[in-house]
Amino acid sequence: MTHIIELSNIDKSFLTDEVETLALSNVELEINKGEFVSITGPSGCGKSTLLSLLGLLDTASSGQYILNGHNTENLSKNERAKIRNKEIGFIFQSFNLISELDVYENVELPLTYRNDLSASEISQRVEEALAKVDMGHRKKHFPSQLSGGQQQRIAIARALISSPSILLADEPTGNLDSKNAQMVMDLLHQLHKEGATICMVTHDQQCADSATRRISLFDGRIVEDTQLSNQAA
Amino acid sequence: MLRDLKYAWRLLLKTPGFTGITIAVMAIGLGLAIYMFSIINMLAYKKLDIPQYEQLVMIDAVVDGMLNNGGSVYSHDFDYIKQRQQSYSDFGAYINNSFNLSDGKEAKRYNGSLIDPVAFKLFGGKPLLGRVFSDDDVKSPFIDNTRSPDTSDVVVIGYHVWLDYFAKDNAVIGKTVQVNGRIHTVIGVMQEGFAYPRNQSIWVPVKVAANQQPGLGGWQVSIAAKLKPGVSLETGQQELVTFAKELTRLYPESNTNVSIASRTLVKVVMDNSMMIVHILSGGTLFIMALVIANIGNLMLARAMERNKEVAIRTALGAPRGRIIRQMLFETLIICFIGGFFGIIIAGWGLDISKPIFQTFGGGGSWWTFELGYEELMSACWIILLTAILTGVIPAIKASSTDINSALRDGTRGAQSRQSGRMIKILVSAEIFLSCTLLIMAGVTIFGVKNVINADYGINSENILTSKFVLNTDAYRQTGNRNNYHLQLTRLLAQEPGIEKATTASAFPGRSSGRQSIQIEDLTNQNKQFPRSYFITISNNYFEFLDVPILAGRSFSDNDTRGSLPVVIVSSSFAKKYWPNTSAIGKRIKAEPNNPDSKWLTIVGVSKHLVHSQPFGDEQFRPTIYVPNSQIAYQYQYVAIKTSSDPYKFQQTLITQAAKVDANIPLYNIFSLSDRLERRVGAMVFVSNIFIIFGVMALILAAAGIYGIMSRSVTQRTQEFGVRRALGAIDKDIYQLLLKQGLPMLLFGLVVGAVLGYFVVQMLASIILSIDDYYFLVTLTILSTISITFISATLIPAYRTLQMEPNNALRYE
Ligand SMILES: Nc1ncnc2c1ncn2[C@@H]1O[C@H](COP(=O)(O)OP(=O)(O)O)[C@@H](O)[C@H]1O
Ligand SMILES: [Mg+2]
Repeated sequence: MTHIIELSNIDKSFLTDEVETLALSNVELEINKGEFVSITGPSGCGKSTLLSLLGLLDTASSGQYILNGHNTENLSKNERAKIRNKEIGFIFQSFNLISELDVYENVELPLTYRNDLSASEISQRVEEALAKVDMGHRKKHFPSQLSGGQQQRIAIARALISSPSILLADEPTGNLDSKNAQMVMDLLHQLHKEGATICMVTHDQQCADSATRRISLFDGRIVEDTQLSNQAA
Repeated sequence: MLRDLKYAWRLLLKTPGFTGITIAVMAIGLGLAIYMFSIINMLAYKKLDIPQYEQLVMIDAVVDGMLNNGGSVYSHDFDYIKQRQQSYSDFGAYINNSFNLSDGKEAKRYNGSLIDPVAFKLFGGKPLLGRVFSDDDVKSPFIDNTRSPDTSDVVVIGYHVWLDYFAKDNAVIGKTVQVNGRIHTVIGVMQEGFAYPRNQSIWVPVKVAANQQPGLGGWQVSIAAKLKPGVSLETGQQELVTFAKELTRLYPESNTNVSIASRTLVKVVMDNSMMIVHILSGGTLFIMALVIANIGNLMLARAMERNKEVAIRTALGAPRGRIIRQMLFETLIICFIGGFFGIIIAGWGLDISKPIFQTFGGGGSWWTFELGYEELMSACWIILLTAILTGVIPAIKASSTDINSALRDGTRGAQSRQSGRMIKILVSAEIFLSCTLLIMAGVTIFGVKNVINADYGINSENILTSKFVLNTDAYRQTGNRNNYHLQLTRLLAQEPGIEKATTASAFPGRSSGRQSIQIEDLTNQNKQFPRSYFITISNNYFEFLDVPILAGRSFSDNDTRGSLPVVIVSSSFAKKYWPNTSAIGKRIKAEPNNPDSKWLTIVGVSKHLVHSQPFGDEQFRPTIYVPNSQIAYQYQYVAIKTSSDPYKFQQTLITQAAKVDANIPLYNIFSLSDRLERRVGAMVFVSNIFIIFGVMALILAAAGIYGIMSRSVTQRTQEFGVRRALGAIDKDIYQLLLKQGLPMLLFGLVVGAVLGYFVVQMLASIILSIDDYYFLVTLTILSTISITFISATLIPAYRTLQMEPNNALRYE
């Protein structure tokens, strides 16, 4: 059993101003360890919603979500936070670095929310993560002093720091120019080669096609699920 | 311009809740500020309607570092300085006093002044009828040891006396009336409103002659002088101090620790209480700072929100100048409407205060408690200044914040570092301001409560008291005076409902002055004698008050003018000089420098009574009592112990007194309890003001801190979303907020507590005794503020943490 994620019969609806929007309906999805899944679809079709459910940032209206063999249904707020902390790495379109913290502190942040690591272990991990994204020389900079591409690389380092089971990336290249976008994609492919499981929402057809599996959403439903020929080396 | 103003008005109308609350806060703040300004101005800075008022100074003695409130310069010293000084063109003495007016049928007592025509002229009054004094009105100058300074037979009366005693008699000029038992002719009636030097309505002309020597209990005067053109108050003051030093060198026995000070007329009434004026001013400034900070901050937040909207909509550089102007207009509108209501609130407050101040007694005639032209002009300035400060500070802040980059910023802090710093400054300032004000308020409230419940050593229930003064001519001899006392108390005691009656020169809570005391057999090299309260009493004084004689005996009918001069001392006196032996039989002398002074033999020791304010070192001061049969002061109180409400016996008191002598009016009739309460009336007033300060400070600070913190937390919703996505649990977020808030809190509390401590020390020196409650009050206040601050941080945080992290991330 190498399923990291098993979604069955997931619905998600939002109630805003007394209008109910069905953002996801009857979603069935399994993601295996080592996969690089891209999710595409028109704007508003539910991609981000799906990703936030996977990341335990939100709860489904109905259906079952099993993560690493554990049912997530009855988890407490704190248990969900703990799983996000250890099992999931987030990469956002708008980077979401914390502006008052410098690069080092931003990357270190997830580790400060657990207390099983010593200071030296933390510092070692931060160094490693920064080295992986090639940003070891910018530790004392603040986010506002970095380019968009650099900020996203810091965000990826932050996502990697807890060695999560899965990386969730929501349009990671959406705010970047093509050169920086390519750099970020190269980085994700590199991580995938090294064994990471990645689930990435993207608009960009080329990016989507560079994954090992492509899922298309339309109107909250999965309308296509294709294994691609790119395999991790 | 007009369009912008209209637009601002429309924007305000769109949010009636916000507008209503800000206007209300503004109105209360400005109301308090205008009210306080009017009071402070009235107490200390008012420009009186006297020609060349700037050059008029009032001169009094400073004894033992305490400014004396009138009538304190030895007439010798007055004359000495007058002959030598260079700074003043006019230099005249006066003695404020009250006078018995009588026509043989009806007697009344009014405030008046024995005044040198030179001094009288300085106040610039015009007569309504008749004339004012000329130098010839004084028959001969008086010297220190004469019985009465009054050697004239004319009197000028004020409008009040003309109205109250003469029923606006237009033919009053040339009529005669007894002033303190001597016939005087009315030569003038002053115009309405003229009541100088303080609150006078009878003036009798006097002149002071050169004396041999200061001291010896002779007459003491106040001085009114006019500075020569170009001479400042300070320069004049320096010259006076030089003379005071000279006099101390020449007459060490009477003038050691005696100096001299000059003040404006308005400040004379405040004498040593200027400190309170300063503290009240400081408190008002703090409240206004809180109001300005809060409303400025609210206006800024509003403008920024709108600004962001505009920037997003136009996707252009925000038209910042216009938005700031818009905000200024809104602020102006709020301040002016608030100011309008503030003036109404201030007027109402002054109305309420008038009777309160009247119970203190002794106010200046310019204490009008009205918003006159001067006050209204100042109110306009206060409103304008507040409007500018409220609008300009956030405007400057807004103009220095780069809104566009804030919009483009991809990071999630939502708060620029700059606005973070602003929040820290604002919150710390609110904490520190409210902390200081609350400590001030808390300590005075408890202090005043202690004072009100103070123990003077007696039971003051069901006692009615009244003052009276026996005229000099008819009651020159102690025997005559004592006869009056005996007759009056005997008549009163026969009345049904009156249990007993007595007379004395002072009851607890007050004294009739202190005297230098010489103790027999106690060597005293430098002739510096200790001082003691000196009170002349009727024989039944202690029995009347239910105060025990601890040793020896009370006075009796056998103590007469001809028998051995006797004295009773308080236990505090006995303990001080004879800690190990009995005081009975020992001899003391009052006014030891006076060759006529006799040795007094101690025949009794009484329980200690408080003859001063009931706190501080003063309350332990010793007292000696002498029998009215041997020495009787002219100024006395008569007191009756009644079986029911003492005020029911007011008329009985007056009627019986008139039977003894119709020329001696009773005045100032109050129950002893009221008298003791009036003793602390000013303190109660100050404490009430502080309660208002405290409540306002707490509300403003709590609302302000809550407003700032909740906005700051809301702005950080996305940041918290990110942190939660990365695994932060609620506790982590709370901890983060507390860790970031702690420095603000501590800074505010420490600065506030230290400042509060100093203010309280200042208060302690004038109106309060600070006891063990100080620590507890401070601790309570510090924890209240801390709890307020922590709630203001955690409650909005709790609310944002109820969101799913996904929603927090998407929060705009
Ligand atoms: N927190 C939310 N509250 C209300 N509606 C939401 C929320 N999140 C998403 N939606 C709605 O759900 C639908 C799917 O949104 P989303 O998953 O963000 O689409 P995508 O990422 O594919 O563009 C949209 O109609 C969106 O308006
Ligand atoms: Mg999306």
